Amino acid sequence: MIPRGGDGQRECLADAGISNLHGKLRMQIRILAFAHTREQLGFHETTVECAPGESPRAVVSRLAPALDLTGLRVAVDFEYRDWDAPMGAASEIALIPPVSGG
Amino acid sequence: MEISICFTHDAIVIPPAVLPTREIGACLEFQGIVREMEGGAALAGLRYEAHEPMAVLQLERIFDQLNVVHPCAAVTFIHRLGWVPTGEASLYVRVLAAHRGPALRFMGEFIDRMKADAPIWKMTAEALRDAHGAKGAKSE
Repeated sequence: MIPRGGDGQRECLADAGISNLHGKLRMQIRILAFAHTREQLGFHETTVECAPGESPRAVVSRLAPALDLTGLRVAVDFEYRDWDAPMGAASEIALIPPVSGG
Repeated sequence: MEISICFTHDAIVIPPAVLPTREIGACLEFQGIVREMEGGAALAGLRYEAHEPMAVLQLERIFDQLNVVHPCAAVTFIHRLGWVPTGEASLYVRVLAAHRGPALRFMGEFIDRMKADAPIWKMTAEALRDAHGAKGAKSE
């Protein structure tokens, strides 16, 4: 849960990397891309500003509207997540194209 | 179960097997080797990459879950990253168990689950070129 108001709560938000700007909660999140997706996007890592209530789909679609998410999984802080679930106080989104280790 | 997970950009060096107990009756080793022919074309090698911290977490979880149904004493996992020439190993897995049955089942199911969920990728030079050609997404 995202706390609201008060000095202690502001410190809590800051610890989670979240700022309260004009009443809107904002945070920086790292976006990682791998394999084909990295080649398509032209970067391995970038940082964007977003809101804790946003979903990975919303953030990635704003960053790269032409990127086809079909077949891509998303991991939030190293765990596979639903594309449409709110991220909360996450620090990293990883775009996971079909894996092929071994 | 003892778990050892390692990613390396160098050729895989197989560590000596240290038996954690005197009840080890099976030592099973698997190596994944880069084959030459892929889709009718001869490859010089493959380039591997991983999201390492996530891969370690996912692999540990897979090992722990498999250990519940196929009890084993130790597993050693080494995956090579970067360029791996044809004929060289990209993957080494060793499973130590009291009996061959759990070791064989653990190994087989682990490879399947790794290939489904561990964030590790291999790409041919051609695939890299094609991906560059397919650029069209906006980036910052």
